[in-house]
Amino acid sequence: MPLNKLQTCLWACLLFAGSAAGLPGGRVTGTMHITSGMQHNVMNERWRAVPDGDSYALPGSGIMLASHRDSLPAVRNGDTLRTVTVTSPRVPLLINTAHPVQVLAGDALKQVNSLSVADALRFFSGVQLKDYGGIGGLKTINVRSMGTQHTAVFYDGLQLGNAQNGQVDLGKFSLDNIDTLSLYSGQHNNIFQPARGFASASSLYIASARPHFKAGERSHGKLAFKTGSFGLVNPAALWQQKITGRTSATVSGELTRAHGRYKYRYTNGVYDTTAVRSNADVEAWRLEAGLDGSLRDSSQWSFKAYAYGSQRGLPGAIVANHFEYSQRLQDRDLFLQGAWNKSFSSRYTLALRAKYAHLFTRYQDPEYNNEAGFLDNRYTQREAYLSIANRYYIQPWWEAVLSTDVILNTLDANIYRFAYPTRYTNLVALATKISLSRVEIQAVALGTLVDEQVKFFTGAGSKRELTPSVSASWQPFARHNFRLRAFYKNIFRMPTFNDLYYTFVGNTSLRPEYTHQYNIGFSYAKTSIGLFEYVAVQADAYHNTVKDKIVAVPAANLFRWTMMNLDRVGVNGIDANVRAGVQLFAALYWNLGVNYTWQQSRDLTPGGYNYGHQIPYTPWHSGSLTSGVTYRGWELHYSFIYTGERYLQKTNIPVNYIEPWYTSDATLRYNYKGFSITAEVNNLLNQYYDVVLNFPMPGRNYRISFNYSF
Amino acid sequence: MMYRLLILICVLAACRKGVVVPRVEVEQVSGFQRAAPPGAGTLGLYLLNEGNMNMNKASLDYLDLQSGLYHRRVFIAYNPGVTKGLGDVGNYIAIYGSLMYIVVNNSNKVEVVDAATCRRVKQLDVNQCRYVDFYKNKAYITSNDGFVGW
Repeated sequence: MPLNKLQTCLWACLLFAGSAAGLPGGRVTGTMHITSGMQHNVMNERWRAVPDGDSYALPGSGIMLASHRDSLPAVRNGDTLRTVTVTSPRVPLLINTAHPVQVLAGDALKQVNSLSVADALRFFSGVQLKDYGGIGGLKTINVRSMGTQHTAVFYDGLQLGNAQNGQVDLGKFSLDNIDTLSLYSGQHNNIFQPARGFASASSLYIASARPHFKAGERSHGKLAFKTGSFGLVNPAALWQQKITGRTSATVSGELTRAHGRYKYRYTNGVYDTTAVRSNADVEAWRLEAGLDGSLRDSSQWSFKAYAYGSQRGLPGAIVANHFEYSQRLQDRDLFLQGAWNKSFSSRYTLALRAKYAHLFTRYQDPEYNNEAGFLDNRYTQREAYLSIANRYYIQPWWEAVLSTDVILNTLDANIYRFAYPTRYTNLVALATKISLSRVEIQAVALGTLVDEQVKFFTGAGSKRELTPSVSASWQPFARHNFRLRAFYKNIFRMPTFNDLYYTFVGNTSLRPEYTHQYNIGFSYAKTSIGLFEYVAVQADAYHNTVKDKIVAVPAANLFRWTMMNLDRVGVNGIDANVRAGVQLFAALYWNLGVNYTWQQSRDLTPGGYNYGHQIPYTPWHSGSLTSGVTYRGWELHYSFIYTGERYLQKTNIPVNYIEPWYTSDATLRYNYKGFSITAEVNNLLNQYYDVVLNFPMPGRNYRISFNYSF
Repeated sequence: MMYRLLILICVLAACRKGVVVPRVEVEQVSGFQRAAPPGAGTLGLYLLNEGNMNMNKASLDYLDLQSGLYHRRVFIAYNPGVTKGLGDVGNYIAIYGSLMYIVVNNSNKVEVVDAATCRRVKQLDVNQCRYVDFYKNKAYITSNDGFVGW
């Protein structure tokens, strides 16, 4: 690990200087000088580089440094800071949060061969990525078998909503300007957040690159270019500019173009067919601009505009005699979001957030047989969002938060017999957290009020729900970095607009889909054990139930399906991961990460034909391994992903069985000053496999990238 | 370390069972009784399973009415060289003369097989085919693609 990274770590450690006592195992030594003004800003920028800032990812290790409290009193007051002298060995501390969190940040993120956010999430435990293959294919995640719609995705702190189908295509988010990915089971540990942060069973936080300026620096830039298999051409640029002492701007943009063709192979031992995936082309652009700043009264604000457009082919299921498809999908996403927070006293802080999102989707199917001879569906979703969060410190160790969110969603479509729904959601969260040096307890009650209006036909009725969650973490031994944690959470997902109003299929009498989660786990980290610089372990055992699961069932006859609250699922699972770093020789550093997931996800629908069977597409065993060596400017990384045997339909019989698959990826990178060149080989063993049946994944493929940072 | 990785990969690789050449699976229907003397020449019954769309799981089963033996997935077993088998969304099946016509909707084909052996005689490509009927030595196939073929 080069020295400059060490310095970055120092910065991270520095953040927690104010609560260093709370850092388990935080042996703090050395020197660093802080004066106010610029440094203050730097600290704040750093602070917000991580979602909500109660934890910081240690670059290069994927391990979390965690502060005990999420704010520094010295910073809060905005006074001139005295000189503080801090350094620390590169001590990777484990996550202290009561909710299990997995983080990929900085170098660890670069280490896994990933083009999109979705690809990187394959390395988290407890996660199944549903991947329809190729660069343009839909990619969604399912955390702990509760279903895709139970994971909320937050981009720079605010949720990416999709009231139409409740899922976010993570393949659309390139990793190019992303700093940190964190996946929380339950919810984010910082309770000072929008009420929406409490409103889902698990949360993925995507944090884009924030400007970090050192003394005397006024701007940073980054140029990147990727090319390789599938006809990929992907230039990207990022520019960060300090406008005034207190304000900085970030602009980034990206183009992605690929013909998306790749070979795939199917065989049953007699026939052996190799064909080329077609209609998998994609053309996408992204433009993002942000302003960050702080005001004289030490309040902070940020603003972001995000625009994305794409045009892609939708490759269909490869079935006998039908390999070619011609469906197209067009997306235009725009969102504007802003946040402002101010501490009025050392006890009281107010945060306001607002967002407007406009999502346009157009689906064209020239093969569709209707009167027009083709299908051309256009959907427009709008979301307006306002959040007010108040935090009050009753005691320095006891905080209370009241958050209120108001969300307005509409969906317009040019389809037959469409209802044109409008949804008003009101979320009120009352949360409290007690943070002692070795114990942390939090409790949240979330009230949800949903009302819906439709222009035509019948609207879904109002919903009123009150759902609780509690969590605790405890460090039993003062001198050992070992922590026990537990949480319980009860939450639900609303039926989506598609569930409720999709012409003929929708059912407006649907109830929400409820989940209960019980989790216990531990984390442990030890530093300097022989050659090992650190070893960190965390494991959790959980039991989840999903009740009133919304499924499509045949209604009057087999040709008319409808949505019903029918199924019940019981999940027992274990997620475990181990990370280690070894300084082998002076300049040779080796790191290792292993994730393992065991899941028994059973269909417990009372009286169901498939009672006790493993639910579709859920392997009993899955895991990943990442390992890398760094030597001066050179890096070599290897990663391996394994998904065990599973069934693709509800009935666990041999015809529904799918074999395990596993892929190996390798990366070689050379860094020289601001330049880096990366060569990647993915699916090294050229294994042909399907994640989703009949949607073949690419075999061995290559990518080369050039980066220049200045 | 790479050596250990290699071992790990080999161990995991062993989990993949590899391809299984399709075979007829035969099962005795328990408690099978010939309720009444069968009609002249009726030896058995073919059953076409539609399969969920996009899953390519249409299949053809055969029940031997003499013995009560139930044969599963006979089409792919007798025609293992047909890429991806019978296909997606088996919609209709009919016998005319010595030939059997299997209309597979989302595979855009009609499989014409020998009714006695299930061996493929010919594959007819018809977009969005639905049904087949017969009149004076001709088979008429309906399609939801805006035309009628024969």
